[in-house]
Amino acid sequence: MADSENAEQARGTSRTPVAVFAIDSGGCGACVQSILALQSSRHAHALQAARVSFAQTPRHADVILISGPLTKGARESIARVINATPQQRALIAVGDCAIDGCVFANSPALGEGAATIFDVHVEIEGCPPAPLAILAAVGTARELLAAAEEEGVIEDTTEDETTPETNAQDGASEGSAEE
Amino acid sequence: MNAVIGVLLAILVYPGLLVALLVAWALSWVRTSVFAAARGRPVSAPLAFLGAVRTSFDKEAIIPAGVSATAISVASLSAVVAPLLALIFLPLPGNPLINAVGLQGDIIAASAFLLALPLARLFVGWVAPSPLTRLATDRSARLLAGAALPMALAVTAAAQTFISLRLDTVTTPASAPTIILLTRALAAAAFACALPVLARATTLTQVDQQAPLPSSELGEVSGRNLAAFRVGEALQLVAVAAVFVTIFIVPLAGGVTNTTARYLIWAVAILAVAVAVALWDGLRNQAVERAERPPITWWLGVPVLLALAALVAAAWAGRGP
Repeated sequence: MADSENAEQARGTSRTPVAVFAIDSGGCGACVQSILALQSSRHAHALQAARVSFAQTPRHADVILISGPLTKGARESIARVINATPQQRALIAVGDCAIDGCVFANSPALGEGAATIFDVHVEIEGCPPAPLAILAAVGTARELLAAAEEEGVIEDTTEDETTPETNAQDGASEGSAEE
Repeated sequence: MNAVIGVLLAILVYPGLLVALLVAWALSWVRTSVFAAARGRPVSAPLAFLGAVRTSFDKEAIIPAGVSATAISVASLSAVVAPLLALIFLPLPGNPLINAVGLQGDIIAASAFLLALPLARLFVGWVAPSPLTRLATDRSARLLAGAALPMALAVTAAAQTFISLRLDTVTTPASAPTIILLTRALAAAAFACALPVLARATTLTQVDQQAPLPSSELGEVSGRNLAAFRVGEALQLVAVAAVFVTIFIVPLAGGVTNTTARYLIWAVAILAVAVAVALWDGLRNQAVERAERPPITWWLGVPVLLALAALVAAAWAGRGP
């Protein structure tokens, strides 16, 4: 998916501001770097246009980004962070590790992936996913939150919602990432 | 004007809920825009503040374990009510309470209202069983302590130059003796140093990747309690600017008798205060982030010195050299 499409998807139809809180449960740190890159000045205008900001604490967050393979030891801590986030909230699994463990999948320290354990609403494939793909997923989460305001529940959309195929590593740079 | 109607108008319309909230929204947008521009960041949309407050209001209010929900609710409610009361009881031009109940206002009381919101924030930061919010509360307590002293001294010095503490009589002719004008100028400068602390808006988002720890005493507040604090902070900016303009700026325009001109002076002065506070925040923090600061800084000492000089000038004006 092109950057412009990601940015467009991030803006979405809803204009509600979204606060994001990111947590990492280990791994190589590449997904964390993608999340940090999203906070850099390069993407400041995209974040501003999409009305997305990064919260200081889970208490102020609407969307939780979970990255890294979920170790058994980190499971409880991550769950506490999620529970500290007020409803309505949306969970996003960032990267292959959070979805299925990726290269760490057979480690005895891991159980099921974060996407399964915490029943996330949006999954972003990639190792690591590009920053704008993360922003696009936040836009999708915002739409879910907007729908939840009307219907009262956030449905799990991991099956049919966006899983941007942009991959910073494969594309050499986030700017050249394409479908 | 009928007293009951006057009180209702003052509370519900002007300068109460309706007008105060509209001005609070406008000044908040001005403030965030100027702050962003000073830092070279994109300016947020005018409705972003309203959207953020509405989102917070709709969300679940999580109360930290061991903390009384009532205490948090009372603190968040007082954060809205105190600055609103400061505005309602301020003899702003056209305030219905002036005609309805003969509102005179009081310099000391109006100034005291401004301390309620910062104190409520300190309270919720302390009661939350989190070392991070308590660290933030410690920092805020030091800031407030540094601002409260010059603020109190400045108000005292300014009050000595008026014939009474009534806010409706502080508008004296501009032909006051030079020593009185000097007193008011020094007191205004001292009070101005306290403005950024009194009107401080809590930072809820990460503004610096290198400082991921919560820098706010509202770190454990969520839902409608957080929304109340955000609305209260927006109202506080209006109240702080209005009190500053009433005590220090309007007397300078004592010779202006035209009502429209006086309204205009009020509006421009309040807007200027909001812009100045935002500029100060936007430009100052860039320097502070880079350097370790001792607990007692030059910036704490100067406002106190200014206020003390104002007191000396006030004594000179009253009793001679």
